[in-house]
This record gives sequence, structure tokens and C-alpha cells, in this order.
Amino acid sequence: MVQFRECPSELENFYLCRQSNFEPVVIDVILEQKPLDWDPVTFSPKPDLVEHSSSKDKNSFFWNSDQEESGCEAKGEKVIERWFVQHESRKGRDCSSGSRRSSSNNLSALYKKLLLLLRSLYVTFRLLPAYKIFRDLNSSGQIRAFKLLPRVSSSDKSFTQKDEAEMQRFWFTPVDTSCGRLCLSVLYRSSISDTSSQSSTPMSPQFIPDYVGSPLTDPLRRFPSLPVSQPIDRLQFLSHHPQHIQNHMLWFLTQALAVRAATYELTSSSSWGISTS
Amino acid sequence: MNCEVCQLKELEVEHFEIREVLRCILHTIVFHRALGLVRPKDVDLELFEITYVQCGDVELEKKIDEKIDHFISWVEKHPNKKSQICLSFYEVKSKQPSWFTNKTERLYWEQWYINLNVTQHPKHHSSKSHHTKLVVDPGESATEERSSRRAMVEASLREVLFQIIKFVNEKKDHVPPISEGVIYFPYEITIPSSSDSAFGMDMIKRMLHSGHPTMLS
Repeated sequence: MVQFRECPSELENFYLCRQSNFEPVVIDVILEQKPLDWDPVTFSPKPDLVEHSSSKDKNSFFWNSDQEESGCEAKGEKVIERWFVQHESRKGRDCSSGSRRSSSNNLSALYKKLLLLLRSLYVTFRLLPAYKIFRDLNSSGQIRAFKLLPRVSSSDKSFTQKDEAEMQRFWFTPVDTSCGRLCLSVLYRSSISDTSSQSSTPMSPQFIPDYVGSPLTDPLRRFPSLPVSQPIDRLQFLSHHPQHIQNHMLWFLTQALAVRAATYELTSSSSWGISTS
Repeated sequence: MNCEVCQLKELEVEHFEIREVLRCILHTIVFHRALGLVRPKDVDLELFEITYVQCGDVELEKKIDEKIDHFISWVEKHPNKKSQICLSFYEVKSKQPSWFTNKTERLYWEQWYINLNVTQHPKHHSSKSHHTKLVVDPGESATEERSSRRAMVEASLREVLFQIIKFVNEKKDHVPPISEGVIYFPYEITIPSSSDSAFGMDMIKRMLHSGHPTMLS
């Protein structure tokens, strides 16, 4: 099994719960509109909104995790990219067959093809509309009324007809492995309404007396801008740095490459590590 | 080994757009063919809302810019003409030296043809002209036309970049094995030149075959 390092907890949990390496990985990049009653300073719902909410906990304002089970987008959410990564097995073939020499040749050819795939992925990310939003979010000094979120799952929730009409699909040519093939494709919205015209609040300059590291603060103090019960984890970080979602997708492929690139002089006839279950 | 050829969709560009467009396309192709260790660098185009990737190699950037400069000089001498730039990747093979041949030869395994149609944007008449009809606001329509044209060029450039990505994905078997320590496959960029005898010979061949001069295609 390919091991991951510095993987966000959601992705890590996802891989631990997977029944098999042949299950697809579906990664959604979601554009979430913040609720109207949103405190731009503390990034939290205003108190009266929280009181009137239903059984949802505060976290649902961030992740809409309860909506995930229903399979539909929550209000104010829009999937702008959906990535599918899957290793399809080739049935009825012994993955470990072949001589040592042919195995080594196959590995170097596979390494080359995966590297080419990685390069084209890297370029493609920057051509999709979500990249512009990501850049806007990172470069603007204003607090936007929207944010980008990742969602990782193993099921492909269908879109409405209207949404499908707005989306385009791009398939990367599958890469043959010793046990099957690695398939990658993306469904993306070809145009996203101009998010720069969305309401935003300029960040007003404020003196922060209790900044991290300030001699006035307790170093172990939690700051009220985030729910106390929710640990600050990488998923939170990802919502502000969606490029890390892409980096982790690349990491998935990169890890596979790194492991095998270091073992060109393979002595065993074991199969490529992507699918070893 | 097969030589795979990719003819990229023709782009209609104005003179001032040549540099950005060519940098974007050439660097994107080279990035896909620099399979050694590179430090990718994102570059935002100034004229279009496109970000492309460079290999982060100053020398490579310099070589590409030099070729683009030569091309621009050629365009200035041959205005309003369709033109083609060829980016080729090859392997160097040694062969039996003889009186008439070199010890090494280049085996081309991939060629990319970048097709440009460089146009001069028609200027609008000055409002001071005696014969100008009354125009409500010529400035505004010119701006709209310009931005509409710019959007079209951007969309076409994006299509070309996707065409590159598709080609790279669909055709992988012909790419030579990666050698350790080698970052780039050997490449050359060929631009049309009136003084280039090879280019001239090619033109003559085309004239003999087709009966009229045509550009490389």
C-alpha cells in the first residue's frame, strides 16, 4: 500500500476506510457561498443564527458534512471541479508474471508515463477556472463572501441536468500498470460567475493585542475565531489553500513514482505498488 | 522510432501579442519534455488571463527569448503573413563516419508546429477627419471590439494549450527513456528566415509540387 506523509486528516481517514485500492477517489472542489449573516471579522456565524439552526452543529457551516450523506449540494455550495482517480484492475492476469529484466523495463516505462501525466496535471490545474478563484482568494486583501472547500469521497454523486450542461469533462489518457490501468479525469465548470463582483468586506485595520506570541497571551490559549471543539487541522488550512488539494492529488501520484523510482533495480517480481490488495 | 508530429491550431495574433503567446506555448511544450528535476515556475500572462508553467531554468528562458526575438524580426520584414515555428526534439546517434557525413546524426522523434497568423489591427479613423460621419462614441466601440478580440485570442490560446496536453497524454510511447542526470531532451527551435537556405529549398520544393508558393504546413 502506498504510504502518505503530510496528508490532510480527511484524506488519511478516507484511505484508511477504503475497502480496496480499486475504489475510485472522487475529489470535489467546492465553491461555498458564506451565509449572509456572517461575521467577517471572526469568521463565525453570528450568535442569533447559531441559536436558530437546527440539529446541525456549528461545523456544518464549514463543511456541510450532513449534506454529504444526502448526496446533494447544500444551499450556497457549488461543485466547480470533480476529479476522479481510479486504478482499474485487469482481471485474469498474474501481476507478478514476467522476467526480472522485462519487469525493470516496464517499471522505467511506467515511471516515464506517470511523470508525463504528472506534468500535464500540473499544467491543467492552472488552466481550469477554479485556479483563478484560488488566486483571487489568496491575493485579495479583502474578506470574500465565498471560499473553496475540498471534499473527498469514493462515490460519484450525480449532478443536476442544469449543472451537467455547464460542465466539461477532460480525460487524461489512462496509464497501463502491471495489474491494470490508472485512470484520471476531471469534470469542471467551464465558466464560473464572476466571483470578484461578490460582496466582500475590506479588512479594516485593527490592532490585535493578543496576537500569537504576544507577551500578553497565554501560549496555550485558544482563539475564539474558530469553534473550540474543532481541532485546527489541515482541512481548515485547505479551505484557504485549495492548491494544496491539488498538491495532495499530485502527492498520491508522486509517492507512487518516488517509491518505484528508487527501486529501478528491482529484484523481486512484485507488482507496481498502486494496487497491492 | 516514430517521429510524432503535432500541428497546433492556428492563432491569429497581433504583433504586440507574439512574444507572450510564443513564450506560453514554447515553455508549456518544453515543460512536458523536461523530465529531469525541474523547479516549476508559474508565469502569468499580462495580456491574457492565463497562467503557464516554466521549468525555472534561466538559460532555457534566454534561449527561447532569443528565438522569439529572431522571429519577431522576421515578422517585421514579412508583415501580414502566416508563419510557422517548429520545436523539434531529437536524439543524437553516432554513426559510421565517412568522407561526406558527420559522426553523429540527429534522429527527430517529435516535432511541434506552432502556426501563427500575425495581423495588423485596422486603426480607426480619427474623429478630426473632415469626411468622418457623425459617430456617437467611436472610442467605446473600439474598446469593446478590442476586448472581444482579446477574449477570442485568449480562448484560442487556451485551446492550443489543451491541445498540447492532449497530445502529450495520448502519445507517450515514442518519448525516449529518461536518462539519469539529464533534465531536457535535446531540442531545436526553427523559425522561418529569408536567409535560411534550408527554408528556401523547402519553398522551392513546394513550388515544384504545388505550382504556387505556400508556407510550411
